[in-house]
Amino acid sequence: MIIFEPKYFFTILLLISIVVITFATQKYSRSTVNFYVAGRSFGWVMNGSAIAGDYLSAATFLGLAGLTFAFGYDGIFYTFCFSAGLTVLTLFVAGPLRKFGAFTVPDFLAQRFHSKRARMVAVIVVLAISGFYAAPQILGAAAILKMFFGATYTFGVVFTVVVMVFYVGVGGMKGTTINQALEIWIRFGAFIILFAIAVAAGYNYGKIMDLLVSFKGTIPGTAEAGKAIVHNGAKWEWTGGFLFKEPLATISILMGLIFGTTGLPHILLRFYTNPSAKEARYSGLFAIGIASAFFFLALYLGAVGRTVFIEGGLQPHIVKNFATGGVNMVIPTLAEALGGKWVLGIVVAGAFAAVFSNLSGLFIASTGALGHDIYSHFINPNATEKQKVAAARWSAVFCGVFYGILGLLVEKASIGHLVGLAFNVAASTFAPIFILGIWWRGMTEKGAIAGLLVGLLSSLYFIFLPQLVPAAIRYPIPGLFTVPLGFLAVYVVSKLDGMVPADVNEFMAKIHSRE
Amino acid sequence: MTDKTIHYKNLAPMDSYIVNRMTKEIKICVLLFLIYAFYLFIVPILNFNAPDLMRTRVWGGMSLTWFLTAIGSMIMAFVIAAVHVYVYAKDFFITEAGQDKTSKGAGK
Repeated sequence: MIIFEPKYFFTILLLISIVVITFATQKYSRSTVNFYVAGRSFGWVMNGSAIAGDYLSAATFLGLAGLTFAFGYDGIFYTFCFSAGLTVLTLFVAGPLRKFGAFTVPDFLAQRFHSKRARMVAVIVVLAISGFYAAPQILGAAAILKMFFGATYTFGVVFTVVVMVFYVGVGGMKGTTINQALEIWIRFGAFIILFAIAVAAGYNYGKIMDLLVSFKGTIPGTAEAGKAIVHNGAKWEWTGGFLFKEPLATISILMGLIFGTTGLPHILLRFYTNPSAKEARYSGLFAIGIASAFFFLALYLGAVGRTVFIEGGLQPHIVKNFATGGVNMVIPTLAEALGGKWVLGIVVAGAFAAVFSNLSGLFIASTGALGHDIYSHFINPNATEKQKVAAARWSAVFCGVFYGILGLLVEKASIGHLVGLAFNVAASTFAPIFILGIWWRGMTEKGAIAGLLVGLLSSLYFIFLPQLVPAAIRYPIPGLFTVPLGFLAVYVVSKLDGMVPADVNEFMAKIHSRE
Repeated sequence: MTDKTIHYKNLAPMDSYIVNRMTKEIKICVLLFLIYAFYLFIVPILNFNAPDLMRTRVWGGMSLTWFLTAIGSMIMAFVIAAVHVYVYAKDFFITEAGQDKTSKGAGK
């Protein structure tokens, strides 16, 4: 029976666990405080796991190992930038944000300035960031379904979206958090198993680096597989000049990715679910611990993948998957090459867990922006609790359609790079707003709106109109320009405006006082 | 909460207790961030300005830059966050204990 084929078996097991958890927690999603922030009931282990689950998306599970596999040192430098973000978030934002306590990210601006305009602009930015982030996650799931299950890409997109709408629409934040916490350990387990197999097979760093640095030429079997791949050992020792052509471009990527985490709505939202600021800080620390271990494993496995690929002696379909799967399918292909179909099954389930976990966080953030910020504050301010929860569930359906369309548009893109762009938008918009909004009482409503708009529009300009950017500053991630622009817009406009909320001292006391 | 705005220059000063807390916390956050940022930015700067140093083999066949980027950075991220949480928790409990002590004294 096909169900006992490992990749089907583990994937179906994952789907069953999602269904069981979602239905078991359904009763906890019947009020808004439960639907959006799970009654602020999660301790640091559960929430830290869920933050890591939100953060370690398909871009990490598939994309970062893939970037290492494809670009050598340049790929690991990308991961280096990702690894810094959670630490900056924990330092400057986590504790005060929890003390503020709200449902959504736009709530922060709306309540800081008592402004509907600020709320509306924040909703647009949440949807823009979530869209950039969700599209590559859907791409990851659809690509796995296409490569390992023989499905079409379109079916993969529709399947993923349907699972997500059910997951978030029925389970709310409670079900989503428990699912995310479970899923981070599933994919962590998958990585550990693959790591153990690779180490047992003798792939220590000494052996890997010796081969990767010394090999030059066409990788065996790739010409026959239809895509001759040339390996250049030099780029495994030091930067190969693919992503990091010069120092300023490198620092630009670093800035976009470091500050990006501080502005990601689905990560910020998670700190509302802790019962206290202290728990929020410990959640951040725990998530950093998990993420650091995860990044280490992803890089190692990316390098092992390249080594196995170069060594040769693989079955033709595995060579083909390495050669044509591009930067996104290295981990499942390596699992099959080293561990056979059972390990492939576990890794495929882990990859789905990564996609579902991260996407559900994005769905919750966008659902909150539509159901809570738009419906409850603009369309029907007198809505009953039942109507608000219904609006949240319908928002999940709307987000599913929106993300599904985006997923269909990015079939050929690199997961890791698309997520990098989402980080850049977040770094240029919400990062300045949250850092300055928490630590500087001189920030005004107009300053905040200006910061959001300048950060968003400048990011979109650099990303979508590169032909209008001088070649000398056409960087893969334009953080060097857009992040300072976002901060500067907030500061300059606030200084020129000068009109702060009369109760800003009370606000500062609330988020900075002892609990 | 009020919808009114006021010019920043006319804003009353904040409670000194909150100012002290904010100053203390931002100082430690900025200090830790600067240490961390130094690490983060020095790696690419050395990559481009001292490539021979960064190509030095250090452990397990890794170049120095590979080690700092793939392993050192993960340890650094955790250590910086752990120090912050430790300092915050220590300050939090000292303040709380101090206040408890004061209130007991007042009772006597």
